[in-house]
Amino acid sequence: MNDLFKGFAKAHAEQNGYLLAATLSPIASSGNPQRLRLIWKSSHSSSVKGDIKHFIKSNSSHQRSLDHEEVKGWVEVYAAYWNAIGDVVAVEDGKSTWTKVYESWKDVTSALIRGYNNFGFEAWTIPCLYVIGKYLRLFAIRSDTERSRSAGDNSGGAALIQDDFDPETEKQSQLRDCEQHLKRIFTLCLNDRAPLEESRKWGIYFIINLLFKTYFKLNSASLSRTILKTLSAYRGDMPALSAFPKSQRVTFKFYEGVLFFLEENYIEAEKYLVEAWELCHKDANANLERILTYLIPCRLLTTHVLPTKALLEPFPRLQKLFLPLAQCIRKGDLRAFDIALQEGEDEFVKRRIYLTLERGRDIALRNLLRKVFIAGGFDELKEGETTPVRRTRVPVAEFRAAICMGSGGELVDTDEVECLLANMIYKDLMKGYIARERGIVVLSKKGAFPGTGV
Amino acid sequence: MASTTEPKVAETEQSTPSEQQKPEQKHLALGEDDEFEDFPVDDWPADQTEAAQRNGETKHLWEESWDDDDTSDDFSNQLKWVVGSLLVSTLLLTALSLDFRPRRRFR
Repeated sequence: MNDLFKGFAKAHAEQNGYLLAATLSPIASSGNPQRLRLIWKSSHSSSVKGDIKHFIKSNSSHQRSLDHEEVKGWVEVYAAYWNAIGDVVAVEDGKSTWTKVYESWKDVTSALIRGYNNFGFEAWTIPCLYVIGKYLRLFAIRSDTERSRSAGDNSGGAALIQDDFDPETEKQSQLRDCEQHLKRIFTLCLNDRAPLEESRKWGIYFIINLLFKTYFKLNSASLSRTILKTLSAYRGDMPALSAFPKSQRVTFKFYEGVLFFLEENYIEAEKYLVEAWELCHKDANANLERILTYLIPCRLLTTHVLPTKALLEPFPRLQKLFLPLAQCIRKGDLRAFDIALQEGEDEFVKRRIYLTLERGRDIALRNLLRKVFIAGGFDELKEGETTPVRRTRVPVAEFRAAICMGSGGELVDTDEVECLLANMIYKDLMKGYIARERGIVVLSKKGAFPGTGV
Repeated sequence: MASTTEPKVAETEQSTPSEQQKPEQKHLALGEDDEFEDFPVDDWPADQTEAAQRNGETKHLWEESWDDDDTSDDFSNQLKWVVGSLLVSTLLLTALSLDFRPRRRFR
């Protein structure tokens, strides 16, 4: 325990928040695998507060001394921490549960929040909130998994009796509870009135990112909007996002982008996802992969572009996910597209990109119709014309033939073909009109298929 | 202040766990397998970003969704053939339905 408070004193002397936060980590450090056990064994529940007070005072006596109130606050925090560590050690020995760990970690959280509210903890210490919040969420998830597993073991009769009980909600009850506590931290950071240089506002994006992760996990991503709304109400007195560390910025942009993506606002989504991608650390492949998982479908719909092999090269999983579809889109092979979409359905749904990719069928169809237009060649040059003009009057029958071919030889009737054509025109993927009585499509001479060079 | 912190300190916390601690670490990481991961460092210089890696050049990473260089002659021949056969089948169907009409009327 002496080591712990040496770290505490050093952190205070340097005003180094990350060093201080490391003393509150509920996992062992690389240099000291026995760290938790040693801390736990070095005190006893009857004497822990006294011990902590003693260690804080003896270690920081020769440095800038903490004021009385602050010491009181930290004693509370570390006493709760010591208690929680006891539970973590017990879980490792199979003598406790993650639920208990979560409960005792919640006490650490409360003690820390009280420290800021009542005992004047300074703003440089906010990385402690990061560590506390981060593990609070992880312990909640562990506890939920553990509880649903044990519920699975002895369910059966019980579940039948309580028929108004929603297993989905129950399954994540701890995480829901955790969200409440993260929100307390969020408010704690948001409402700090201290001048910016010494404000807890610097903790806001870290906590928001934790909340985003929590909402996404709870399948209620849309609740993230509430947080963003609150944030924008305060934006005036908030430090600019660009002043925050890149790890926080990338995470924030990613979630904001995905949020727009889920709201089908692909233009905005693309903006944020591109920013996240550009700012991301070059070696953080797993995160780059996550960004691209959304950016690729997004770009398919906004600018109708596909990823190249060079882009997907470092990501075998993305290759498997997107290359078959990309191939079908490029070829205008509707039937193969449907099959590829179906084959990847589970993965696509899991990643919430199925509905977006489904819309890629329009691009496949556009490419198919474009091929018909190209195959039509050029009209004969009229007097005074120097550049050849493509044939812009295309019989519906030709489009129908192409669509039948693209659908794997299935017979598609003319009405349906006209409907598909009308949709293409409506979506601005094709320019022109259908002259029904003559059975032809009159395409625009200036860009029949906008953005594709013809 | 909190914005520009030393990456090194954050690193220690994330660094590779010892053998004994591995299962515990894994458990904790499990909850995060489908969500954005924590970065091992808090901040990094601009030259370590993905954008810098690409020198701001992203053109070769994306390509148009259409291609028209592949055997467009084949396509147009096939198209002609299918247009023809569709026409025949349509005529045939029309003929058949014409054929049926008088019979129905006589019934």
